[in-house]
Amino acid sequence: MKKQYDYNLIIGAVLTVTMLFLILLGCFYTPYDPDAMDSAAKFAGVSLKHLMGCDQFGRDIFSRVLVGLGTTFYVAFGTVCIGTFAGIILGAVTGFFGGVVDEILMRITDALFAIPSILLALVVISLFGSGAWQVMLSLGIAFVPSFARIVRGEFLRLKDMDYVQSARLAGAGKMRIMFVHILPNMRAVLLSTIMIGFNNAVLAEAGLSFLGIGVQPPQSSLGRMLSEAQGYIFSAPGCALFPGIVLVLFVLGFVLLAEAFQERKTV
Amino acid sequence: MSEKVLKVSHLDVYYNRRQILKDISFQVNKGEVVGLVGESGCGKTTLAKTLLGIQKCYTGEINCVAKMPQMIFQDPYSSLNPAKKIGWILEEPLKLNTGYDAAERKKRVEEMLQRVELDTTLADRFPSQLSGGQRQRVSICQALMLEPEFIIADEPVSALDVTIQAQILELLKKLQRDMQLSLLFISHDLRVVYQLCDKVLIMKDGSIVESGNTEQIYFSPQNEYTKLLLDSKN
Repeated sequence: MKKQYDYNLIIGAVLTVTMLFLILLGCFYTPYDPDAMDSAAKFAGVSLKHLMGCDQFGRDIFSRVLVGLGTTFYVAFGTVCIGTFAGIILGAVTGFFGGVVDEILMRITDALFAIPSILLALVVISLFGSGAWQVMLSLGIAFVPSFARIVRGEFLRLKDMDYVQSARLAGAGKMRIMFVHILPNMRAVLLSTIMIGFNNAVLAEAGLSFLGIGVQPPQSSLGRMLSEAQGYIFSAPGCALFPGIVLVLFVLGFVLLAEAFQERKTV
Repeated sequence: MSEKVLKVSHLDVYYNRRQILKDISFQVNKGEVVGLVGESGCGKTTLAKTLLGIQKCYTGEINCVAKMPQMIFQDPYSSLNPAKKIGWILEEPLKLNTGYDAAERKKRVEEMLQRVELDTTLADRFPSQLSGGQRQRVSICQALMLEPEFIIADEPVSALDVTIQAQILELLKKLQRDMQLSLLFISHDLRVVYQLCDKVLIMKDGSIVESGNTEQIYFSPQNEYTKLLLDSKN
């Protein structure tokens, strides 16, 4: 058999590993203090001294990207974790058991669906103050209904399969059937949902930061940097371009990786 | 031979307030193969599900003496969990019902795989990597893992092509003799039933219209519907 290279996997893995390396690097080392202003370096161009130039306050963009990537990653990651975890539990219970529990929980998620996530975020933030954790929590809650619906649909589809009956005949309990027998069969759907959710979370975080209720300055995140740079997009395009490119590559790597996994699972 | 494993009396089954099965009574003795024949939609699968406790809305009496009756399903493509390896699927009943450790379980699985004439290396494969016939052998193997006394086989060969059908039937016959299994064999194919069964129940529109020994049903059918079924097959 001829060896075939899986380009999705290779490119996705390279991008993701690079980005994770940058995130890790940003935790321990940045060329400059990401928050230090230097009026002499205002809008400095790309040079060896400043790899990506400087912004309107003379802050080193590369350092800020390193730190901002980390912030964005952990806000999006946390959001997806909360959404996935709660969504799986809710969807599994409602889809598998049906009946009154299903009715009640689904009406609650319907109600949650009706509230725009921005509004929900505003409520959470007004209760707990603004910051990365609050963004994570509010976006996570806003993500639960869509996750729950998808998982519920999958459970409805799979719970009457013959292999589920056969597991029941073998003596498997309800919990074991739900999470050991059924859940692994929806990993392809889950994976793509998580990936889409992750990308949405990155965008939502940027949106909230843009509105000024997300990550608070001087803390940087890629979304925050983009919104700060929008006033100078023509005079100093680097301020928006570099965080933007990093954001795109970050999301792209993730998507390619997801696609490669999905193909592998279905073959 | 008179020791019974299953006795059903006056069973009525309802689904969505509609009566599906009417006044079903029969008995399965130890080591006996009972065929259940009828056209599609007459309630054969519903009867199987009721006997196994999957369908719960019924009146009448089901007295199942056998512990943990098992079932072999019609479609070998949906009866094996696609996310698990064959070995895992076969070990599951042992994991849940016996105190065997991992090594013992593995040994039992290999023994059983040999019994259904499959290569033991198949344990490391996923169901999607197997053919229909192999999958049906795995399904049979899974039903046998706990050495049950009573198995319901719901059209176990109708999804397979003819040569594989013959092999699977041969295997079922052999296993049934070797392990003294009682079998309720559901089918719409009278030839298959004739090959395998000691007794036959003929079912029409949710009730049993004729029952008796296979020879007797085949050569001197009493009921009009049975005659019709036999005529259409010959």
